[in-house]
Formats: sequence, structure tokens, C-alpha cells
Amino acid sequence: MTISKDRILKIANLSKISISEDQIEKLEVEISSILNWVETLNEVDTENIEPMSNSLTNFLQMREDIVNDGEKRSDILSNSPAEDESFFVVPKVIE
Amino acid sequence: MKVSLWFQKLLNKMIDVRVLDLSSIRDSLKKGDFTSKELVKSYIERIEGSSKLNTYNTTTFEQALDRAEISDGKIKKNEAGPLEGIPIGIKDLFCTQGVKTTASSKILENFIPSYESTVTENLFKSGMIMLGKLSNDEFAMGSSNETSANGAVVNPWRSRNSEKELVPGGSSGGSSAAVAASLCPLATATDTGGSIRQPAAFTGTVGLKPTYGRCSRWGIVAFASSLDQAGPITKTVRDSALALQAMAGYDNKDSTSANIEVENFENYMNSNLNGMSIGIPKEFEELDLSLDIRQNWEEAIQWYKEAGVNIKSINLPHCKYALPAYYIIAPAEASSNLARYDGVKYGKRVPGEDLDSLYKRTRAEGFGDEVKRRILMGTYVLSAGYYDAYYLKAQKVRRLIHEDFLEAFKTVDAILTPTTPTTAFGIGENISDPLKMYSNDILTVPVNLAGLPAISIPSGLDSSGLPMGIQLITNHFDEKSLFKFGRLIEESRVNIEMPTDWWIKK
Amino acid sequence: MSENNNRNPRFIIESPTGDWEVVIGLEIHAQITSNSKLFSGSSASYGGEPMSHVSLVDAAMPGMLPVINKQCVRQAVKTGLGLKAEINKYSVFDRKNYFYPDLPQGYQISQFKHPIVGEGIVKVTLKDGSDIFVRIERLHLEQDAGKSFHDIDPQSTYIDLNRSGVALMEIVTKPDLRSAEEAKLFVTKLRTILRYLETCDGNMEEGSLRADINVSVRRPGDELGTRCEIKNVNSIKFIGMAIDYESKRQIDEIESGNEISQETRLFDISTGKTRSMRSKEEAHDYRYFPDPDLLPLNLSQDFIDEIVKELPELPDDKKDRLMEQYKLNSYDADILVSDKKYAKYFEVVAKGRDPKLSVNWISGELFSALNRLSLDIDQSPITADNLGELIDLITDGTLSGRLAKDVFEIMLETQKSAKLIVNEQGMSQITDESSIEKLVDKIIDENSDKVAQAKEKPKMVGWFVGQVIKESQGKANPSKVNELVLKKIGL
Repeated sequence: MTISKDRILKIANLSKISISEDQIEKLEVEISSILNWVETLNEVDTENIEPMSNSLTNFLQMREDIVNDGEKRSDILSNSPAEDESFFVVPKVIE
Repeated sequence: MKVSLWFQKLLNKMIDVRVLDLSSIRDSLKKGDFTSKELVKSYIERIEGSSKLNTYNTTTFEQALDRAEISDGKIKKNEAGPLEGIPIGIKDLFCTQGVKTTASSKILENFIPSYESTVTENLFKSGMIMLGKLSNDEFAMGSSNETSANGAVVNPWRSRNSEKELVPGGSSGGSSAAVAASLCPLATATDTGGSIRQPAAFTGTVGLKPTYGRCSRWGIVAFASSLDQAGPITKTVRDSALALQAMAGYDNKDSTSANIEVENFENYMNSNLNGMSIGIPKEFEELDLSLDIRQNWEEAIQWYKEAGVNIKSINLPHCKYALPAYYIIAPAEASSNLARYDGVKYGKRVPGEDLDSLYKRTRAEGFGDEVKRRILMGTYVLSAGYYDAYYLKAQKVRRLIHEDFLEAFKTVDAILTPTTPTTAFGIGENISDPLKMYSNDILTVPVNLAGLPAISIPSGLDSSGLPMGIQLITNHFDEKSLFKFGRLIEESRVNIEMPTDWWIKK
Repeated sequence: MSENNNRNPRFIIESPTGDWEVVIGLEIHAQITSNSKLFSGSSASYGGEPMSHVSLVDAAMPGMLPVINKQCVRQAVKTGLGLKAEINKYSVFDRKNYFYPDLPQGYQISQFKHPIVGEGIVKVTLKDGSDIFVRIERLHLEQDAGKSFHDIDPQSTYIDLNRSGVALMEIVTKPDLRSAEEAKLFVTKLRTILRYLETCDGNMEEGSLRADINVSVRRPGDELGTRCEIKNVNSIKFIGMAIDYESKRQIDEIESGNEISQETRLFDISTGKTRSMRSKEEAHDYRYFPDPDLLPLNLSQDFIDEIVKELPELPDDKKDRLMEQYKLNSYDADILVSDKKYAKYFEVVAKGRDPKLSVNWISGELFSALNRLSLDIDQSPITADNLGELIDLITDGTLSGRLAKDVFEIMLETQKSAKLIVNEQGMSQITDESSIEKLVDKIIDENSDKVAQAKEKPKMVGWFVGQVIKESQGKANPSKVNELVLKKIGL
């Protein structure tokens, strides 16, 4: 399966990574070859096989409804690129 | 040993850390052969002379010396933790409180966590001391440690009569090189597709990937959540058991943490293997392995036979699909796990005229090529129209692989394979061929998909003098059998010692 | 049940080109009442200093992991039971991947293929007294996002993550609604049910309950038209306005020869119109996949049974019972069951007393007083017992209706009991004939000129009655006064 330039641009947009023109060509080749390779999975008969997300066999443990976290504003903002004491800041978003 | 140490102490108070390992240090500190502070000083000196290997991203020498003093105090007062005063290296994927944690990526170049990962907290609670953060392939994606934002790590091993610099393996190349070069007796590492075992094999060290769920993932920068597992790289199998005991344990902050008792794994070192059985997977025999590695595998089988172990041929028919399945599942999970690195909350921010360009530029400049490639792959295989054909298909194949192993473990106690198809290759040799790079993981990846525990143990040297590793795989939560079986390899193999300190600058 | 597609629709929009039918489906986001968030231990309460109810997990710091809150799971199951829905013992959490600054992880943890609750049903009574049945498609758990502030700075958007990670139930209906009115009634009913269950406080001003509205139009009997989604409408009134505008907009578009493009729209409360959002179709590829940081949820039958035991009497059942037990009419019963606190209050008041009188005092005097004072019935200065006592004093003749109203006002102010006030202020009604007769005589004597007029205009009797009552400082029993005035005047 080859991946088209158009598809790569769409994927790059979904992934929020900008790629340059020369990068696109290289990626076309690389990703296409990886896709060709992974398509060997089509050889496997997986009819009636349940997908496996995790090797653990138990189910989700639930925790009690206590407030035991939060009030960490300075920790959370300590690495923020914008210098605001109370919020994360980004360029204006128009809805 | 004790005499020469005492003599050294008399001479220059500098300890030759090359002859030390975790359990010998533990004993020496208890006995008072040297202090933790003296030990830390010796490691510091050696690390400072080893910059050529480029193993540490960040060093924490001041804090280490302070902690060593505290540890010495505790040891004197008999209040020592089980591994008190022992210095270690931490892979730069573990969040360490107050100490820069970068995942060896530009996008986290100045990130300082306000929190400590559970695994490192466990180690510090047992008394261990951090020397610094070790380099790795960016975001744990790689098999050669060439994609670190801080440059390639160099393997302390070189081929006989050659000065060519080799890779230490990856993604935990910094960890494996550091232990091999005696820059710390233990390094923490993570394994998602072989990232502990493969570098251990390339550097003549012991690398353990515990069962998925055995060690907590809380505070470890996530790559592929259903595959990632923290584990130790050490010089010996005994050390590996000690380290696992200190690292493992249930964590209620991690929903994928198993509530399983942490045993005294060291106890299993002296076990009789008579009557136990080992499986040799037929399909792995058909792989493209180097001659030396194939021979070494045969040798190892012989050692077990001589110890009274039954050798059986087993079938793992779907394992040949493990690598392609892995390269669908891992990038898919990674593409989602790495979405949080967006220049908004922490890490690098590249400004843009609007939010969209801020995201795109930050991530374009902050991530390296391999990471970008995997994010794009991952996004693609999850995207509308492709999910069933790729992701879902891979998860189904994963179940078949898991079932193959479960079936095999009905008749054998452990599975024995080489860890890697080749020994360490040259820096720069494979970096422009992703598929070739991926093929390094062919023997290790099936284990991660199935969530099983596995260990790589140095088992010999190839014809150019480079270390080879043998891999043992056991059933879920049966790490004790890895140690039981592992010891025999250490006892039977040729002496494996790194020839020279060629990289040291005095 | 069929797709409710028939040639005799419940509601039509007429136009010169023919009739149109509006088809509406709702996706309601209800914030779960809990102490802490769905996957982290920080506070889920409303308000708070910016970034204070935020943990490392909520802020998506590297290495952070989700752990599910049992209470949120219980609340979702409880709600499912209240919606008469199927509870799915096995459910899975999926990641919904997209980039937005109020979504720190770059994905929302939600449920896609295997939600915790399946199909259910809600009965809605329309204004004409008929019932419609709105089918629930599913209910699932998901994380709420943070809040963006666009007005703090002209160049920037500020993000507060207090709300990020709070537990939401997304309740999806099938497209069974046919008018703005029906939609409003449905949301009102759903809100009531949630408040009965105490799984969501239904406080729309605080954002506890929001609706995404799917609207399409068609000719009666036709297949479904293309729908548009109006996002995040946060009041019942606006839900109605948005549907009205959007359905007319779509009809106009089609009648002008244009096709409806499927898009996401916002309702602008200042203009009363909907407008298109800037997002493109590709942006909606959420790439759902099971969250690998979580395991599947598996509920035991015991877990569910425990919750069944906790279910309160729900509005429909309560209404039926009140009508039966207290012989109330539908209108009165509706008022009382609109909030279970009203019903509870009523049942205390009505115990051993005239239910109609009780209802009237509650829905009349009490509600307008509470409204005026901006108080909840919980905060009522007049307790149910005290109101009951007041009613007793009317029933036994101590107080006239008029006097009772005065006492009521004093009770509001002082929170004292009726009996106490009546005794302190000597406010009992004068009912004995001789006392009243004396007052009537007095008024008639003082106004003998008007007596003749009263004989001509019987309406003037009322004036005399009023004067007598005034003279008695409101205490004289009005009907007795009326009786005696008529007698004395000779009518």
C-alpha cells in the first residue's frame, strides 16, 4: 500500500506537525515501505479472534470518591512557556 | 577482594568500581570496606572521565554527595535501607523530582518535574542515590540510542583491533553503556519492544523486562502504554533480582499495576534445575541470525542439557507477525501519548501566528525524525477507514501470539532464544533504514506483545570479541524462574570482561 | 419502536410550498455530582481560584495516569436505572483524539463502542396532557474539558483547567423529538429525573447541564434530512430558540434551492441565530481506540443491585401516587413532582390535612414568597410543619383566609409558628355573631347615607363588608360579616 502525498499532509495536519516539501517525499517512501511490510498481517486468519488491548486479565480497579489531590497550581505552571501565574496562555482562539 | 580493596583504600581512597557490582557493594558498605561517599566520589571521577561515551544527559553530583553522607549516617546507626548508599543511574524517561527530565528530546529540553516516578521513589526509599539521568533514544523510540537530542551514545565495547564506534543498543543505550562501562552498578531502563534486553545484549550486561504490570508506570514518560515496562540493567543476574525487588510493587495510581506480591527474588538464585524444561521455538531457528549467535544458542542449550534440564522443541507460529503487529500498535499508542507535547503547558514552545501554527511548529522542531515518523504512522493506522485493517487486525494477531506463548508454557517452564540477531553495529550504519533498524527487535518484541517477563544475559563473545546475549522468557509473573535459569548462563559461559578503558580521559 | 416517521406528524411548520416536519435529537452533557473528578482526585466542585482544582493528572504532565472514581460509575449506573435503561456490565473507555488547548492530554477519555448504559426511555407529558416517549440511545462516561477565556487579553486565550477531567454523563436520545416545545419539555423532565436521583444538580447557569442539538427538516413521510449540530446550549429557553431559528433556516435554505451541508453550529444568544463553526470535516477524525492506560470496566450484579436499592421514587411514579393518594389533579401533581423537595414538603403539610388546601398554599403563597426572597424550598423560613399548623388554624376557624395571609407574612419574617404568632398578636378571627353584629351596626350607623344606595346597588355590600373587616383589624370572619351586613341592610 503506498501512501499519497495528500494523505500524508492530512495525517500531518491531524498530528499537528508541519512538514516541509522535501520531507514529504522522504516520508512517502518511508511510510509506504513500512505499510507494505505491516500488511503481511493480512496473511493471518483472525476470524472470530477477539482483539487484545492488554495482557492483564483483571478488570478496572475503582478508587473512593475523596478529594486528595489538586491545589498544585505553582507546580503545574512551573514549566509553562507563558509567564502567567494563574492560567495557561495561547494565541487567541476564534471559535 | 577484601585485601585489595583495603590496600587501595590505603593508597588513594579511590575505589576501582570496575570490579564492583550491586550485591558486592551492598556487602562492602555493610562491612565498612568503604563509605557511600567514597564510592560516589569514585563513580563521579569515572563519569567525568567518560564523556566520550556520552551516557549521561544530566548529572546530579552535588545531591549525590549529600545523599551519600546521609546514607553513611544511617549505615552507622544501623538504620540502613536494603540498598542504602548505593549510587545508580536513571534513564531520562523517569520523572525525577527537581531534576531535569527530557526523554532525550528537544521538546522537553528544560522540563523539571515537581514529582517523582513511583519506581525511582521505590529505589530512593531503599536508600539508593541518583548519579544522574541517562541518555536514551528520543521518547524511547529506537534500537541504537542514535536519536537522542544529546547525540549518540557510544558502546564501551569495540570489535577486536578496531576503533570503530559502535551503538550500545536502544532505546536504553545510555543505561546499558553506563553499566557496562562501570559508570553505575545499576541503571533503570524501560522496555517496550526490547529496549532493555537488546542494549543489554549489545553491551554484555544483564537486562530484565518484568511482566507487564509488575512495575508501576506512574511518572514514566509514556511511549506505548500497553507495552512499556520499567526494569533494571545490571552486571549480574543476582543484581537483577535485587533491583527488581526494589523497583517492583503495586501502585494504586497506575490502573495497569498488578496487585501481586513482590517476592525475595534473590532467594531463587540457588535453585536446582533438574527436571525442569526449556522450550526452543522452531520458528526462531528459521530466522536470519549471525553464525556466532546461532552457535552460542546451541552452546547454551547444551549447558542446560548438562544440568538435567529437558529441552523441547515448541511452536510459536504467530511470532513472525510480532514485529509488524508491534509497529502498528506501538506507534498508534505513541501518537496519542505524545499529543500532550504541544508547547502549551511545559517544554519547548515555538511561537506561531495562531494556535495551529504554534502546535505545528513546536512539534516539528521539538520532535526528531524517528518520533515524527512513528507519530504519523500511528495517526494513520488509527484514522477513519484504516482502523480495522491495521490497528484492530494487529490487536487480533497480538492475541494469537499471546495464546501461542500460553500454549507453550503448558509444557515448558521457560523459553530460550538469542536476544538479538546480530551483535552491536556501527554508529550511523543503520540510521537511514528504518526497517533494518526495526529488525533488531525481532526476537524481543513478541514478549512485549504478550506482556511476559524476559531477561537477557551475556552468554559469550562473538568472533570479533563483541558480547552476545541469550534471552530467557517465562510465564506471567514468573520472574523467579528467570533468575533460577539465568544463573546457569553466568556460570557456564566464558569469562566476559571488557578489554580496556579506551575512552577514559584522565 | 419505529422511527416515528409517519404522515401525521405531531407538529408542522407550514410554508407556501407545503408542510415541513422538524426532527430533533439531543446529546445532553450532565456533570456528575461527585466530590472528585472522574479519573483524578482533585475537586469536582464549581468555581474556585483558577488552576486550583487541578492535579498533575488533570494537567496531563508527562507520566501521569488515570484512575477511575467509583462514585462516578455508580452515578452513571443510577442514572441509567432512572432512565429505565439497560446497564452494560462490561464497558470500555476509549480515547477521543483531537487538539485543543482546553484538552491538555490531546485526547478526551470517553466511551465509544461499549458504553456503560444502553437503550432506555423517558416519558414526557405535553401541554395538552398527552404523553410522548423519547427513546434514549445510550449513556456514557467521559471527561469534561477545561475552560477557555477569550476576553482577558485581545491577543491571547487563557486556559483554566479546573473543569478539566470532571465527570460527565453524555445522554444521547434517538431523533424522537418533533418541536422546540417537545425538546424543552424533554430537557426539563430529564433534569428533574437527574435531580431526583441526585446524580447531577441540573444547574444550567453553572454549566452542569448542556445540550448539543441535532436538527434536520423533512416533508412528512420522507426520509431524514441532513442534520446540523448546534453545540453547547446551556439554557432551556435557548434550546427552544435555537431549534426555532435553525429549523426555519434550514427550511429557507431548501426552499431557496440549496442543500443543507452537515455542519457544526453555535447558537449566538445575543442575536438568537445559529452560525457555522470554522471546523473542517477532516478535523473530526477522532481516531477512537481503547485507552491502554485503563482496563475494561466490569460491574457485578451485586454492584448494580446495591444501586437499585438506593433509587428514590421517580417523578412519574410519584405523580401517579400523589394523584391517587391525595386525589390531586394532574396540574397540581406536576407542580409538586417537578422537584422531589416540593413533594416531600407537601406530604408533610398534607398529612392529616386537606390536600387541595395544602397544594394551594404551597404553589401559591409559599412559592411566590420564596421567589421573591430568592430562596430554595430547603431554605424556606416556614417549615412544612409550620405551614401545616397554619392550615389547621384555617380549618378550625381560628383564622380567616385573609388573616392567615397576614400570619403567613409574619411567619416568613420571624420564622415563628402560626400558633405563637396568633397568640402573641391576638390575631384570631372574630367569628361570634354578637361581636360582629356590634361592628356591623357601628358601620351602618356611621354610613347610614350609603345604606339606601346599597339597597339599589347590591355591589356596595362589598364596601360595607370591607369597612367592617377594616374596623375589626382584619379579624372578622368575612362570610359572617357578609351574612350580617346583608341582613342588617335588608337584602
